[in-house]
Amino acid sequence: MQSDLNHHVDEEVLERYSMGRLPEEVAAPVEEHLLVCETCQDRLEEVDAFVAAARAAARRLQQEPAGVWERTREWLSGLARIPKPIGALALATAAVLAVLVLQPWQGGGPAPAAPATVVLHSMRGADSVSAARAPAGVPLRLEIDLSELAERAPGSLEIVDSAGKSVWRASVSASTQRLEVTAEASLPAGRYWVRLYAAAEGELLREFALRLE
Amino acid sequence: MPAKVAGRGPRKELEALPAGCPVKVSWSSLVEQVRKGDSGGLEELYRLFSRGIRYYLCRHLGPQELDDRVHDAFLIVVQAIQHGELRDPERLMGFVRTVVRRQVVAYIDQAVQSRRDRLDLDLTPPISDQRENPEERLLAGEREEIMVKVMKSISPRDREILTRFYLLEQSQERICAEMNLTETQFRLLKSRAKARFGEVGKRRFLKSRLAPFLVRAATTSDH
Repeated sequence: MQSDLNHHVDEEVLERYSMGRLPEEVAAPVEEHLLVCETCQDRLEEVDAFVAAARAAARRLQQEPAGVWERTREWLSGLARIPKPIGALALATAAVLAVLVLQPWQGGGPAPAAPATVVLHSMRGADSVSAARAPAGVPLRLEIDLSELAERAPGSLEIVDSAGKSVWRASVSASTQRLEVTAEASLPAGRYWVRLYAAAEGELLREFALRLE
Repeated sequence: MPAKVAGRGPRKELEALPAGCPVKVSWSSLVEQVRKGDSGGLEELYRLFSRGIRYYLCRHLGPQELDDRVHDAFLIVVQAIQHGELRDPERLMGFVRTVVRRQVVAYIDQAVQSRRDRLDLDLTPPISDQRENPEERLLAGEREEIMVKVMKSISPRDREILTRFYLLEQSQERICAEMNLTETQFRLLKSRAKARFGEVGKRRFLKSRLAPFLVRAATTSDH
Protein backbone atom coordinates (compact mmCIF):
# COMPACT_ATOMS: atom_id res chain seq x y z
CA MET A 1 0.00 0.00 0.00
CA GLN A 2 1.42 3.36 -1.00
CA SER A 3 1.19 6.47 1.14
CA ASP A 4 -0.96 9.36 -0.02
CA LEU A 5 0.49 12.83 0.47
CA ASN A 6 -2.73 14.59 -0.46
CA HIS A 7 -4.60 13.46 2.62
CA HIS A 8 -3.76 13.75 6.28
CA VAL A 9 -4.19 10.87 8.70
CA ASP A 10 -7.66 10.51 10.19
CA GLU A 11 -7.90 11.48 13.89
CA GLU A 12 -9.13 8.04 15.02
CA VAL A 13 -6.38 6.29 13.09
CA LEU A 14 -3.79 8.62 14.57
CA GLU A 15 -5.05 7.79 18.05
CA ARG A 16 -4.88 4.06 17.41
CA TYR A 17 -1.36 4.52 16.03
CA SER A 18 -0.40 6.49 19.12
CA MET A 19 -1.65 3.62 21.29
CA GLY A 20 0.22 1.04 19.18
CA ARG A 21 -2.98 -0.61 18.05
CA LEU A 22 -2.78 -0.36 14.26
CA PRO A 23 -2.22 -3.49 12.20
CA GLU A 24 0.92 -3.36 10.03
CA GLU A 25 -0.98 -2.95 6.76
CA VAL A 26 -2.56 0.26 8.07
CA ALA A 27 0.45 1.45 10.07
CA ALA A 28 2.74 1.31 7.01
CA PRO A 29 1.08 4.10 4.95
CA VAL A 30 0.51 6.11 8.14
CA GLU A 31 4.22 5.97 9.01
CA GLU A 32 5.23 6.81 5.44
CA HIS A 33 2.96 9.84 5.56
CA LEU A 34 4.36 10.84 8.96
CA LEU A 35 7.88 10.79 7.53
CA VAL A 36 7.13 13.77 5.31
CA CYS A 37 4.12 15.53 6.88
CA GLU A 38 4.93 18.01 9.62
CA THR A 39 1.26 18.74 10.22
CA CYS A 40 0.54 15.13 11.11
CA GLN A 41 3.72 14.90 13.20
CA ASP A 42 2.39 17.82 15.27
CA ARG A 43 -1.06 16.30 15.47
CA LEU A 44 0.38 13.00 16.61
CA GLU A 45 2.27 14.76 19.39
CA GLU A 46 -0.99 16.28 20.57
CA VAL A 47 -2.73 12.91 20.42
CA ASP A 48 0.16 11.35 22.35
CA ALA A 49 -0.18 14.04 25.00
CA PHE A 50 -3.93 13.52 25.32
CA VAL A 51 -3.62 9.74 25.50
CA ALA A 52 -0.89 10.03 28.15
CA ALA A 53 -2.98 12.48 30.18
CA ALA A 54 -6.11 10.31 29.90
CA ARG A 55 -4.13 7.25 30.95
CA ALA A 56 -2.52 8.99 33.93
CA ALA A 57 -5.80 10.56 35.05
CA ALA A 58 -7.72 7.29 34.75
CA ARG A 59 -5.03 5.48 36.72
CA ARG A 60 -5.12 8.09 39.45
CA LEU A 61 -8.90 8.06 39.72
CA GLN A 62 -8.93 4.28 39.81
CA GLN A 63 -6.68 4.34 42.83
CA GLU A 64 -8.75 6.98 44.64
CA PRO A 65 -11.68 5.62 46.65
CA ALA A 66 -14.96 6.90 45.24
CA GLY A 67 -16.65 9.57 47.34
CA VAL A 68 -20.11 9.21 48.84
CA TRP A 69 -21.47 11.82 46.42
CA GLU A 70 -20.18 9.95 43.39
CA ARG A 71 -21.62 6.66 44.58
CA THR A 72 -24.96 8.29 45.31
CA ARG A 73 -24.97 9.89 41.87
CA GLU A 74 -24.15 6.57 40.26
CA TRP A 75 -26.98 4.93 42.17
CA LEU A 76 -29.43 7.67 41.19
CA SER A 77 -28.48 7.47 37.53
CA GLY A 78 -28.98 3.71 37.69
CA LEU A 79 -32.41 4.23 39.23
CA ALA A 80 -33.40 6.59 36.43
CA ARG A 81 -32.78 3.85 33.86
CA ILE A 82 -35.17 1.42 35.58
CA PRO A 83 -38.46 0.92 33.62
CA LYS A 84 -41.55 2.55 35.14
CA PRO A 85 -43.44 -0.66 36.10
CA ILE A 86 -40.78 -1.59 38.55
CA GLY A 87 -40.17 1.96 39.67
CA ALA A 88 -42.31 1.37 42.74
CA LEU A 89 -40.23 -1.62 43.68
CA ALA A 90 -37.12 0.47 43.19
CA LEU A 91 -38.52 3.11 45.50
CA ALA A 92 -39.37 0.46 48.04
CA THR A 93 -35.79 -0.69 48.07
CA ALA A 94 -34.55 2.88 48.16
CA ALA A 95 -34.55 2.94 51.94
CA VAL A 96 -32.41 -0.17 52.09
CA LEU A 97 -30.03 1.18 49.48
CA ALA A 98 -29.86 4.53 51.25
CA VAL A 99 -28.57 2.73 54.32
CA LEU A 100 -25.91 1.10 52.14
CA VAL A 101 -24.99 4.45 50.61
CA LEU A 102 -24.40 5.94 54.03
CA GLN A 103 -22.32 2.99 55.24
CA PRO A 104 -18.56 3.38 55.46
CA TRP A 105 -17.21 2.03 52.19
CA GLN A 106 -14.04 0.66 53.55
CA GLY A 107 -15.88 -2.26 55.14
CA GLY A 108 -16.69 -4.07 51.94
CA GLY A 109 -13.17 -5.00 50.90
CA PRO A 110 -11.87 -4.55 47.37
CA ALA A 111 -13.17 -6.66 44.52
CA PRO A 112 -10.60 -8.91 42.84
CA ALA A 113 -8.58 -6.82 40.40
CA ALA A 114 -9.31 -7.34 36.71
CA PRO A 115 -6.24 -8.01 34.55
CA ALA A 116 -4.77 -4.95 32.88
CA THR A 117 -4.16 -5.39 29.17
CA VAL A 118 -0.63 -4.58 27.98
CA VAL A 119 0.08 -4.47 24.25
CA LEU A 120 3.77 -5.16 23.56
CA HIS A 121 5.36 -4.23 20.24
CA SER A 122 8.62 -5.42 18.80
CA MET A 123 9.30 -1.89 17.53
CA ARG A 124 9.16 -0.52 21.01
CA GLY A 125 12.55 0.24 22.44
CA ALA A 126 14.12 0.72 25.79
CA ASP A 127 13.23 4.35 26.32
CA SER A 128 10.68 5.74 28.71
CA VAL A 129 8.57 7.15 25.90
CA SER A 130 7.89 3.81 24.29
CA ALA A 131 7.95 1.34 27.19
CA ALA A 132 4.56 -0.28 27.63
CA ARG A 133 2.90 0.89 30.82
CA ALA A 134 0.40 -0.81 33.09
CA PRO A 135 -0.90 -0.48 36.61
CA ALA A 136 1.11 -2.26 39.33
CA GLY A 137 -0.43 -4.83 41.63
CA VAL A 138 -2.91 -6.34 39.20
CA PRO A 139 -2.70 -9.37 36.89
CA LEU A 140 -1.45 -8.51 33.42
CA ARG A 141 -2.94 -9.59 30.15
CA LEU A 142 0.03 -9.47 27.76
CA GLU A 143 -0.65 -9.14 24.04
CA ILE A 144 2.24 -9.57 21.63
CA ASP A 145 2.26 -9.12 17.87
CA LEU A 146 4.17 -12.08 16.40
CA SER A 147 3.96 -11.02 12.76
CA GLU A 148 7.67 -10.12 12.59
CA LEU A 149 8.84 -13.45 13.96
CA ALA A 150 8.20 -15.23 10.67
CA GLU A 151 8.07 -18.98 11.32
CA ARG A 152 9.77 -19.06 14.70
CA ALA A 153 7.30 -20.44 17.20
CA PRO A 154 7.35 -18.96 20.70
CA GLY A 155 7.80 -21.45 23.55
CA SER A 156 7.93 -19.45 26.75
CA LEU A 157 7.43 -15.99 28.15
CA GLU A 158 9.29 -14.54 31.10
CA ILE A 159 9.10 -11.32 33.08
CA VAL A 160 12.32 -10.16 34.72
CA ASP A 161 12.82 -7.20 37.00
CA SER A 162 15.32 -4.38 36.38
CA ALA A 163 18.08 -6.46 37.98
CA GLY A 164 17.42 -9.33 35.60
CA LYS A 165 15.77 -11.56 38.22
CA SER A 166 12.96 -13.72 36.87
CA VAL A 167 9.65 -12.89 38.56
CA TRP A 168 7.23 -14.83 36.37
CA ARG A 169 7.52 -17.44 33.65
CA ALA A 170 5.10 -19.55 31.63
CA SER A 171 5.05 -21.82 28.62
CA VAL A 172 3.20 -20.34 25.68
CA SER A 173 2.06 -21.35 22.24
CA ALA A 174 0.41 -19.33 19.52
CA SER A 175 -1.61 -20.45 16.55
CA THR A 176 -2.19 -16.93 15.21
CA GLN A 177 -0.04 -13.83 14.67
CA ARG A 178 -1.03 -12.58 18.11
CA LEU A 179 -0.01 -14.05 21.44
CA GLU A 180 -2.26 -13.38 24.43
CA VAL A 181 -1.17 -14.52 27.88
CA THR A 182 -2.41 -13.57 31.34
CA ALA A 183 0.27 -13.26 34.00
CA GLU A 184 -1.55 -13.78 37.29
CA ALA A 185 1.36 -12.46 39.33
CA SER A 186 0.57 -9.03 40.80
CA LEU A 187 3.89 -7.26 40.47
CA PRO A 188 4.90 -4.13 42.36
CA ALA A 189 5.69 -0.84 40.60
CA GLY A 190 8.98 -0.69 38.75
CA ARG A 191 10.74 -1.45 35.49
CA TYR A 192 10.52 -4.89 33.98
CA TRP A 193 11.47 -6.70 30.81
CA VAL A 194 9.20 -9.18 29.09
CA ARG A 195 11.20 -11.82 27.25
CA LEU A 196 9.83 -14.10 24.59
CA TYR A 197 11.80 -17.30 23.97
CA ALA A 198 11.62 -19.68 21.03
CA ALA A 199 10.10 -23.14 21.47
CA ALA A 200 13.19 -24.71 19.96
CA GLU A 201 16.46 -24.26 21.91
CA GLY A 202 14.96 -21.50 24.06
CA GLU A 203 16.59 -18.69 22.08
CA LEU A 204 15.56 -15.15 23.04
CA LEU A 205 13.30 -13.86 20.27
CA ARG A 206 12.19 -10.51 21.60
CA GLU A 207 12.45 -8.34 24.67
CA PHE A 208 9.96 -5.63 25.56
CA ALA A 209 10.28 -2.85 28.11
CA LEU A 210 7.44 -2.72 30.64
CA ARG A 211 6.84 -0.11 33.30
CA LEU A 212 4.38 -0.80 36.12
CA GLU A 213 3.10 2.28 37.95
CA MET B 1 5.12 13.77 -11.52
CA PRO B 2 3.22 14.39 -8.29
CA ALA B 3 3.36 11.74 -5.59
CA LYS B 4 -0.40 11.36 -5.68
CA VAL B 5 -1.57 8.03 -7.02
CA ALA B 6 -3.81 8.86 -9.97
CA GLY B 7 -7.39 7.75 -9.78
CA ARG B 8 -7.27 6.68 -6.17
CA GLY B 9 -9.74 8.16 -3.72
CA PRO B 10 -8.93 8.97 -0.11
CA ARG B 11 -8.45 5.83 1.92
CA LYS B 12 -10.28 5.25 5.17
CA GLU B 13 -7.28 6.06 7.33
CA LEU B 14 -6.56 9.33 5.55
CA GLU B 15 -8.80 12.35 5.51
CA ALA B 16 -8.91 15.24 3.04
CA LEU B 17 -6.94 18.05 4.65
CA PRO B 18 -4.32 19.06 2.14
CA ALA B 19 -2.46 21.82 4.03
CA GLY B 20 1.04 21.31 5.41
CA CYS B 21 2.25 18.47 3.21
CA PRO B 22 4.71 18.49 0.31
CA VAL B 23 2.05 17.35 -2.15
CA LYS B 24 4.01 18.11 -5.31
CA VAL B 25 7.11 15.98 -5.18
CA SER B 26 8.57 14.32 -8.23
CA TRP B 27 10.09 11.20 -6.71
CA SER B 28 11.55 9.98 -10.03
CA SER B 29 13.42 13.21 -10.60
CA LEU B 30 14.57 13.42 -6.98
CA VAL B 31 15.83 9.83 -6.96
CA GLU B 32 17.63 10.42 -10.25
CA GLN B 33 19.35 13.50 -8.85
CA VAL B 34 20.43 11.61 -5.72
CA ARG B 35 21.66 8.72 -7.84
CA LYS B 36 23.90 11.13 -9.75
CA GLY B 37 25.15 12.69 -6.51
CA ASP B 38 23.64 16.07 -7.38
CA SER B 39 23.93 18.37 -4.36
CA GLY B 40 20.52 19.96 -5.01
CA GLY B 41 18.90 16.52 -4.94
CA LEU B 42 20.68 15.57 -1.73
CA GLU B 43 19.58 18.81 -0.10
CA GLU B 44 15.99 18.27 -1.22
CA LEU B 45 16.02 14.69 0.09
CA TYR B 46 17.36 15.91 3.42
CA ARG B 47 14.81 18.74 3.58
CA LEU B 48 11.94 16.36 2.92
CA PHE B 49 12.88 13.55 5.26
CA SER B 50 15.20 14.82 7.99
CA ARG B 51 12.47 16.01 10.34
CA GLY B 52 10.39 12.88 9.77
CA ILE B 53 13.36 10.56 10.33
CA ARG B 54 14.32 12.50 13.44
CA TYR B 55 10.74 12.32 14.67
CA TYR B 56 10.47 8.57 14.05
CA LEU B 57 13.80 7.74 15.67
CA CYS B 58 13.11 9.96 18.68
CA ARG B 59 9.70 8.38 19.14
CA HIS B 60 11.10 4.86 19.16
CA LEU B 61 14.58 5.28 20.61
CA GLY B 62 14.47 8.49 22.63
CA PRO B 63 16.50 11.67 22.24
CA GLN B 64 19.93 10.17 22.98
CA GLU B 65 22.43 10.42 20.10
CA LEU B 66 19.63 11.57 17.83
CA ASP B 67 21.76 13.67 15.48
CA ASP B 68 24.13 10.77 14.83
CA ARG B 69 21.26 8.38 14.21
CA VAL B 70 19.54 10.73 11.76
CA HIS B 71 22.84 11.19 9.96
CA ASP B 72 23.36 7.41 9.79
CA ALA B 73 19.86 6.85 8.41
CA PHE B 74 20.29 9.54 5.78
CA LEU B 75 23.64 8.08 4.68
CA ILE B 76 22.14 4.59 4.39
CA VAL B 77 19.28 5.91 2.24
CA VAL B 78 21.58 7.89 -0.04
CA GLN B 79 24.05 5.03 -0.49
CA ALA B 80 21.26 2.56 -1.15
CA ILE B 81 19.80 4.82 -3.82
CA GLN B 82 23.23 5.34 -5.41
CA HIS B 83 23.81 1.56 -5.44
CA GLY B 84 20.54 1.11 -7.30
CA GLU B 85 18.75 -0.66 -4.46
CA LEU B 86 15.61 1.44 -4.93
CA ARG B 87 14.06 0.09 -8.11
CA ASP B 88 10.79 2.03 -8.07
CA PRO B 89 11.32 5.74 -7.25
CA GLU B 90 7.62 6.08 -6.40
CA ARG B 91 8.27 3.83 -3.40
CA LEU B 92 10.84 6.21 -1.92
CA MET B 93 8.77 6.92 1.21
CA GLY B 94 8.28 3.21 1.88
CA PHE B 95 11.97 2.65 1.24
CA VAL B 96 13.00 5.32 3.75
CA ARG B 97 10.56 3.87 6.30
CA THR B 98 12.05 0.41 5.87
CA VAL B 99 15.58 1.75 6.34
CA VAL B 100 14.63 3.64 9.49
CA ARG B 101 12.64 0.72 10.91
CA ARG B 102 15.61 -1.60 10.39
CA GLN B 103 17.80 0.92 12.11
CA VAL B 104 15.44 1.01 15.11
CA VAL B 105 15.36 -2.79 15.31
CA ALA B 106 19.17 -2.91 15.11
CA TYR B 107 19.55 -0.37 17.94
CA ILE B 108 17.09 -2.30 20.09
CA ASP B 109 18.83 -5.62 19.44
CA GLN B 110 22.12 -3.96 20.27
CA ALA B 111 20.67 -2.57 23.52
CA VAL B 112 19.25 -5.98 24.47
CA GLN B 113 22.58 -7.67 23.80
CA SER B 114 24.61 -5.12 25.74
CA ARG B 115 22.17 -5.28 28.64
CA ARG B 116 22.49 -9.07 28.76
CA ASP B 117 26.28 -8.83 28.62
CA ARG B 118 26.27 -6.31 31.44
CA LEU B 119 23.99 -8.48 33.55
CA ASP B 120 26.28 -11.46 32.97
CA LEU B 121 29.19 -9.39 34.22
CA ASP B 122 28.01 -7.69 37.37
CA LEU B 123 24.24 -8.03 37.82
CA THR B 124 23.78 -4.28 38.00
CA PRO B 125 20.73 -2.77 36.37
CA PRO B 126 21.24 -1.02 33.01
CA ILE B 127 22.25 2.60 33.24
CA SER B 128 20.36 4.92 30.99
CA ASP B 129 18.65 8.21 31.65
CA GLN B 130 15.00 7.50 31.04
CA ARG B 131 13.61 10.50 32.86
CA GLU B 132 11.55 13.15 31.18
CA ASN B 133 13.16 16.55 31.35
CA PRO B 134 11.73 19.01 33.92
CA GLU B 135 9.73 20.93 31.33
CA GLU B 136 8.15 17.77 29.93
CA ARG B 137 7.37 16.59 33.45
CA LEU B 138 5.70 19.89 34.28
CA LEU B 139 3.61 19.88 31.12
CA ALA B 140 2.60 16.25 31.60
CA GLY B 141 1.62 16.97 35.21
CA GLU B 142 -0.49 19.95 34.18
CA ARG B 143 -2.24 17.97 31.46
CA GLU B 144 -2.91 15.16 33.94
CA GLU B 145 -4.52 17.61 36.38
CA ILE B 146 -6.76 18.93 33.63
CA MET B 147 -7.76 15.44 32.60
CA VAL B 148 -8.52 14.45 36.20
CA LYS B 149 -10.83 17.46 36.39
CA VAL B 150 -12.50 16.48 33.12
CA MET B 151 -12.97 12.89 34.20
CA LYS B 152 -14.41 13.92 37.53
CA SER B 153 -16.95 16.10 35.76
CA ILE B 154 -18.40 13.27 33.64
CA SER B 155 -20.66 10.40 34.68
CA PRO B 156 -19.14 7.26 36.22
CA ARG B 157 -20.27 5.31 33.17
CA ASP B 158 -18.51 7.68 30.75
CA ARG B 159 -15.44 7.61 32.96
CA GLU B 160 -15.46 3.82 32.89
CA ILE B 161 -15.58 3.87 29.11
CA LEU B 162 -12.56 6.18 28.90
CA THR B 163 -10.72 4.12 31.54
CA ARG B 164 -11.36 0.92 29.65
CA PHE B 165 -10.13 2.43 26.41
CA TYR B 166 -7.13 4.50 27.49
CA LEU B 167 -5.89 2.73 30.62
CA LEU B 168 -6.93 -0.89 30.21
CA GLU B 169 -6.48 -0.68 26.42
CA GLN B 170 -9.63 -2.62 25.70
CA SER B 171 -10.75 -2.53 22.09
CA GLN B 172 -13.53 -0.23 20.95
CA GLU B 173 -15.52 -3.27 19.79
CA ARG B 174 -15.32 -4.95 23.18
CA ILE B 175 -16.26 -1.78 25.08
CA CYS B 176 -19.19 -1.09 22.77
CA ALA B 177 -20.43 -4.67 23.11
CA GLU B 178 -20.06 -4.86 26.89
CA MET B 179 -21.42 -1.38 27.60
CA ASN B 180 -24.16 -1.39 25.02
CA LEU B 181 -22.80 1.50 22.95
CA THR B 182 -22.87 2.25 19.26
CA GLU B 183 -19.64 3.20 17.47
CA THR B 184 -20.98 6.75 17.04
CA GLN B 185 -21.76 7.10 20.75
CA PHE B 186 -18.27 5.87 21.58
CA ARG B 187 -16.58 8.32 19.21
CA LEU B 188 -18.79 11.15 20.43
CA LEU B 189 -17.86 10.47 24.04
CA LYS B 190 -14.15 10.59 23.23
CA SER B 191 -14.60 13.68 21.11
CA ARG B 192 -16.49 15.44 23.93
CA ALA B 193 -13.79 14.48 26.43
CA LYS B 194 -11.12 15.94 24.13
CA ALA B 195 -13.11 19.12 23.63
CA ARG B 196 -13.65 19.45 27.37
CA PHE B 197 -9.94 18.81 27.94
CA GLY B 198 -9.18 21.66 25.59
CA GLU B 199 -11.74 24.00 27.16
CA VAL B 200 -10.70 23.39 30.76
CA GLY B 201 -7.07 23.73 29.80
CA LYS B 202 -7.71 26.92 27.88
CA ARG B 203 -9.46 28.50 30.85
CA ARG B 204 -6.83 27.36 33.29
CA PHE B 205 -3.74 28.15 31.33
CA LEU B 206 -4.86 30.90 29.03
CA LYS B 207 -1.82 32.97 29.74
CA SER B 208 0.66 30.15 30.14
CA ARG B 209 2.81 28.61 27.44
CA LEU B 210 0.50 25.60 27.38
CA ALA B 211 -2.19 27.70 25.72
CA PRO B 212 -1.19 27.02 22.09
CA PHE B 213 -1.24 23.27 22.63
CA LEU B 214 -4.56 23.33 24.43
CA VAL B 215 -6.23 25.63 21.94
CA ARG B 216 -5.19 23.22 19.16
CA ALA B 217 -6.47 20.26 21.20
CA ALA B 218 -9.86 21.95 21.54
CA THR B 219 -10.17 22.71 17.85
CA THR B 220 -8.84 19.45 16.47
CA SER B 221 -11.21 17.40 18.61
CA ASP B 222 -14.26 18.81 16.83
CA HIS B 223 -14.22 16.33 13.99
